Amino acid sequence: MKRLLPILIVFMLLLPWIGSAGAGNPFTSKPGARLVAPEPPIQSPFVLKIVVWQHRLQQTLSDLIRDFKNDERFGPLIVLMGLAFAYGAIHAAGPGHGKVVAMSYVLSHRPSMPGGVAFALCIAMIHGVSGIVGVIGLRYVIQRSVSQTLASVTEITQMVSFGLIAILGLGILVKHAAALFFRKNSPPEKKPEVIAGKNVWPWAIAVGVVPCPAVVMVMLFCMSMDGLLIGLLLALCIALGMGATISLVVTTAILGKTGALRAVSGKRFERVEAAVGMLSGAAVAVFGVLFCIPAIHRVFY
Amino acid sequence: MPLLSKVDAHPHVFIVQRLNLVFDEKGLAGIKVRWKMDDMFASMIAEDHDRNRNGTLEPDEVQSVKENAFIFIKEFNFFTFIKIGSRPFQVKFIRDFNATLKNGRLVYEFFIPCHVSAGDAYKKVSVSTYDPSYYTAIFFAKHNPVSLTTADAFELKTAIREDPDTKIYFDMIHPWTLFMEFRKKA
Repeated sequence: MKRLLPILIVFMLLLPWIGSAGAGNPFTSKPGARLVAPEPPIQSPFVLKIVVWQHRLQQTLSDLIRDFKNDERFGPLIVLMGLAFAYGAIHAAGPGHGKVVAMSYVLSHRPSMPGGVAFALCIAMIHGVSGIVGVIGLRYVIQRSVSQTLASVTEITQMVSFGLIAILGLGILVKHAAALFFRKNSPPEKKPEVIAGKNVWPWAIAVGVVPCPAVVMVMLFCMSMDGLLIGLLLALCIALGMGATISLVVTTAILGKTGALRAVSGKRFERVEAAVGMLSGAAVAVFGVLFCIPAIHRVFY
Repeated sequence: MPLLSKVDAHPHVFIVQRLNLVFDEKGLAGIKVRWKMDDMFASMIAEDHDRNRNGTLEPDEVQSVKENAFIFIKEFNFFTFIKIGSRPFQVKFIRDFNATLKNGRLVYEFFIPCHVSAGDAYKKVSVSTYDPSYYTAIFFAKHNPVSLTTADAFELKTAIREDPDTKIYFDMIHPWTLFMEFRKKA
């Protein structure tokens, strides 16, 4: 049990971060349609600096987009892409963006390091692409106000996302509980899994399906200047930046898990791993259910 | 992981604000709030509400902005959390909302009635502006963040600093707050 402690501590520290993933734009969301962040007891004055940087980055990004649209030189485009990447990376450092669920995936599976990075990039790209599809779909196909309609689209995708997360968490819980309580002892197998596409996609879709507001705003800003292509390019750069941050979280989790399990003797390895997986699955399932119920309420009532 | 969690920033809308403290013969009459919205939010609002695409907002368009992209924050005290002494003052309504769009820059302005009579002793009032969910980050303007209207009859001290008694966004941020003290001039 002592050896499980580091993993449990890491997991407990991350639990409070789950909550605010679904916050909606307060200016355009009807009352009751948004989640207000809870207030767990972690404090950091450094956060304000990060927020100020994010503000400056966003302001610089919008100024440069204007400049680029005016003279369309190649140089500023490279700078713009770099800024968009940095904006995505800083943006994804905040709560949400699937980091906790991605960590649970790591704790309940055995992804290799490249597999973990690929998983993180999948989440970020789906998160970004759902924003792109949302904007283009609403603007050019359905031809409705993006800011107004996207709020309800986001509510529906949140409901789907939390529902999927609850199901996936439940699946992990059952799988690892079966391994822990019903499976006979078998020789330990510590080899990491190379990323398996069919295992990863449900997770990546569940986490990434909610449109990323940062991508939506950059897309809309570019499109307001008839810059659909530059909008698409920058949206992808933002998604890549988010992928970099989520990758950092996932690789840290893989390293932490590997380090903690290395201390476990061969015989007990599988039992410890199953217990960790079971706890991760339970936490993810509870999170999914807790957030799915209000999401269903918002969509249907 | 705790380190990672501290590198945390998630607002999507950024506002630079200026506050104008409006006084009448009795004391503080209210606060005129001026919010300069970030350019990306501005373009989104222009896209939806500048229906004739002339780059400015006419009265009917301002009304549309108010009804569809402002009034919902009433639920959150209009992001303005006032304390008179240590007693919270609920901002239930505002007056004179206006939205202006010029060269792609969007500004919201509104007046919060808040009457506090001045006496011989200093009265303390604090004004914190923040979005409880931190979807929006609100900063005071670097230059002239606070101005006064018809305050000649009063002695006034103001300071802008973080409010250590208020914590938002996972308890990680103390919102910037205007602290003021005022009394009748002797």
